[in-house]
Amino acid sequence: MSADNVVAIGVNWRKLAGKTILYLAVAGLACFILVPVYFLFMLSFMPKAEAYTWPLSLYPHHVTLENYRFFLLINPKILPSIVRSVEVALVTIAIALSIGGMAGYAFARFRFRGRNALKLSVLFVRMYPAVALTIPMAVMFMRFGMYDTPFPIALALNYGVGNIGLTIWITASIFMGISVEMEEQAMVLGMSRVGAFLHITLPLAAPGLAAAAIYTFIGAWNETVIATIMTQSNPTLAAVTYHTVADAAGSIHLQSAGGAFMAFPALIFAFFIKRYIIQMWGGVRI
Amino acid sequence: MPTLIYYIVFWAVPAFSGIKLAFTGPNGFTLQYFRDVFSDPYFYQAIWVTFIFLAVSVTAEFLLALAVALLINTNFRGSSLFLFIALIPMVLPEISYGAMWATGYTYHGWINSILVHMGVMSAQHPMMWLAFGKTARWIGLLVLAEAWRGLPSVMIILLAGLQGISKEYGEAARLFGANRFQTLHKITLPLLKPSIQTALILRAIGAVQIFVIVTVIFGYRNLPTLVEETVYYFTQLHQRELGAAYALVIAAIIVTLTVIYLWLSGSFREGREENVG
Repeated sequence: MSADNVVAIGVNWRKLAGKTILYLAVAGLACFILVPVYFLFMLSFMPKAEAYTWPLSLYPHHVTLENYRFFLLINPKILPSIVRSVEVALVTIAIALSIGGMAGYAFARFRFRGRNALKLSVLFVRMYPAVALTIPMAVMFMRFGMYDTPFPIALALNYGVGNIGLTIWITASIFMGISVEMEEQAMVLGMSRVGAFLHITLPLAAPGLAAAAIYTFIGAWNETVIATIMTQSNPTLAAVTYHTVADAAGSIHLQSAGGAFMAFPALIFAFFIKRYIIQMWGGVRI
Repeated sequence: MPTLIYYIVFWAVPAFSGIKLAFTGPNGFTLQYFRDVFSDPYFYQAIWVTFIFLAVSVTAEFLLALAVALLINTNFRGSSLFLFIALIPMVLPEISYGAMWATGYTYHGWINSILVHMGVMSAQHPMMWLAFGKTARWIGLLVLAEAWRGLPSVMIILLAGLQGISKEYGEAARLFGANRFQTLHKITLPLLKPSIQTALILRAIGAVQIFVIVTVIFGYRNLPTLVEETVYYFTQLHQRELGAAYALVIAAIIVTLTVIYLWLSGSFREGREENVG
């Protein structure tokens, strides 16, 4: 009887130790991720006078929006650039979903010649470094007079290249999840293939497609390197914030307000599609 | 196929015109721009910094992420909250992440403040993290900041891979007398190989292209990296052809990495159908 007890207690101790290590590791990593985020947002709301005391307080005594006002007005390009960022993102979504979605559907439903070659080319294009594509593209668009236009069509066309591959992958897995039999039944009942797609498959795929669109939006909103190369006097918010933040070394209040302002939309949208993003990264084969 | 047309117009055409741009001088074909690149002292610094950073950062992130992924490969209470936290660095704009670490590393920034509050550092003598001339320390700071961004994504890829491995393999191995380490070494890691390859190549490609964070924290040309030099030549010095030549060097490195990855993962073998894209 006592021997049994000893074994049982021993096992429990082991379990307890395992659990403790597990939670310590999780808590440690969570802190490592959250502490910098906390300071970014906290400093952005902190009055300037407090942000430059030493050592910094770990929480704001007063909360202010003054830093954001300062950031938004420091450069007259910033307010119009917000609209431009949204425009770029919307055009990119349109390109990625229409072209990428079609290819995704084809990958999910048909076996065709050159399927593997297309798959490889998608992967290759996605891997190809952004600068190596963007510099010649910028020179090309300069020749056509499409470089750095107020409506950022050149930038959206560039983002389209990277995003089509991603959208193909996402939409293909969405369409694979929708059973082909439903489409076939609709066709037996007299619908065309297009009709079956529009009335049966598309409504079922809508939530997934919306998630893909939101993910594309976040990507376009965040993108900095390409925007820096492709725009000069008509920048996106990311490009102009980048210059503002990079030129303001040591200006804690300005840097944090700029960084936090960029972060809000990305975080809010990400929250809505968190399940999809985790699934997506979990299934990455690139 | 619309995808193919789009790729040809907006990928293949610019990619090849980039090659043309880098090799065409005022009087036709020239290697002058590449000669300029290879005689640029910043180029060697950039290569050196980029590769040291690549090696250290990818190794550190991978080992840490693997350890954490193996530890938490169970459904524990709060795991969905944890996954959401891990998601934040993956969707935060690069500028926000640059601003966050720039305000941290600065002389009177939040990292020094935390250390002072913890009593580890005296308020009179804070650490000059960004003191000039300490390249090794700067790369260390970069690795730390980049780990913040890279660790969660590597961890999620590895976790997903681990969850795809049936628990029965491990149990069977135990039954035959393997200890924990042997199970890990002989069963788990080989089965996890595809996820490991994916995670490593994604991080390596990201590391070669490091740019925003470097310039936000250190400014242009203080810690040269390859993409930073490319952008600098193109946007600040307006030397398009040199920028294009630099970009081709980066492309060559990344294409090499990609081909090695594809070859290892067997994507060249026709007819293997897993996930698309």
